[in-house]
Amino acid sequence: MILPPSDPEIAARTFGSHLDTYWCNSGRDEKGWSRVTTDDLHTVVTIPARRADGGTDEYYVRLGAEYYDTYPPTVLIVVPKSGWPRARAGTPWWPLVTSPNWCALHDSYQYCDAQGQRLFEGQLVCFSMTAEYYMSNHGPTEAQRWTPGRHTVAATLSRLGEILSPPHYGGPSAPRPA
Amino acid sequence: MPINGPKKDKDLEVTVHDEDDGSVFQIEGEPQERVDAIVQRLYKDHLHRERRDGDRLRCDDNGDDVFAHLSKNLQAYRSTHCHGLVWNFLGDQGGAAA
Repeated sequence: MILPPSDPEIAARTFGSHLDTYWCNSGRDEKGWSRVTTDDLHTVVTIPARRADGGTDEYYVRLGAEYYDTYPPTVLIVVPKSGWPRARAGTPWWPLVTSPNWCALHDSYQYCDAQGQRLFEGQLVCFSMTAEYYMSNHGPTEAQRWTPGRHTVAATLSRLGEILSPPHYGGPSAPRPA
Repeated sequence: MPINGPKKDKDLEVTVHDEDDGSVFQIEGEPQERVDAIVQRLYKDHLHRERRDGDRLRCDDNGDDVFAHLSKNLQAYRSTHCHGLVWNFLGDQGGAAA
């Protein structure tokens, strides 16, 4: 499914407001999260994933407001270096996650329409609070579907935090550099 | 913002984080009031709908499922399962199988 882009000014303002609300009300700073705005429509959020032994590993998720809030933010797990490139499975910046039944992490996912035209290819953080879920033609129930006015970027970040915590999080998929 | 009538001196206050929209609010309850009554006020006054399969309501302290304790009174529930009386609500979401 090709998503219609939102008006960039409205999307940026709405996304920023929603993110600020969630950040403040849920005490993200006190929980060790941080964020950096990279351009009008994108923010990279640092999430401290909690291991079962109590330690933490930081992951970096780039959120995009290209289709917000008609659709959820775009979500990309990235590498903490200039340009924030996409993280790949088998590298230190890709988390090992024993997924709950409502989420899966795909390093490379393809979706083609009935005519064989490729409509989606790339990393997919697969649950109904990411834009890529809809781009790749997944079909939620009405109760599961992103609903503007009911869901905000809070719904995306809270669930990312959940899968990066016990019992789901299993460490980085390769050792971190010293 | 509290969803309640006039506060009584010994009312207990439950803080609920709605993780779907980032809002936070308080619901007051009497110590002997059942957890179920608090949950009903959550649905009626904040969520404006009935409870659905897939809804999750967890104690922020320990992740414990609030729905498992509906018959307990609030004071006993606080003592044994959720000392801070802070809850996190999440509605259903679709996933890899959807």
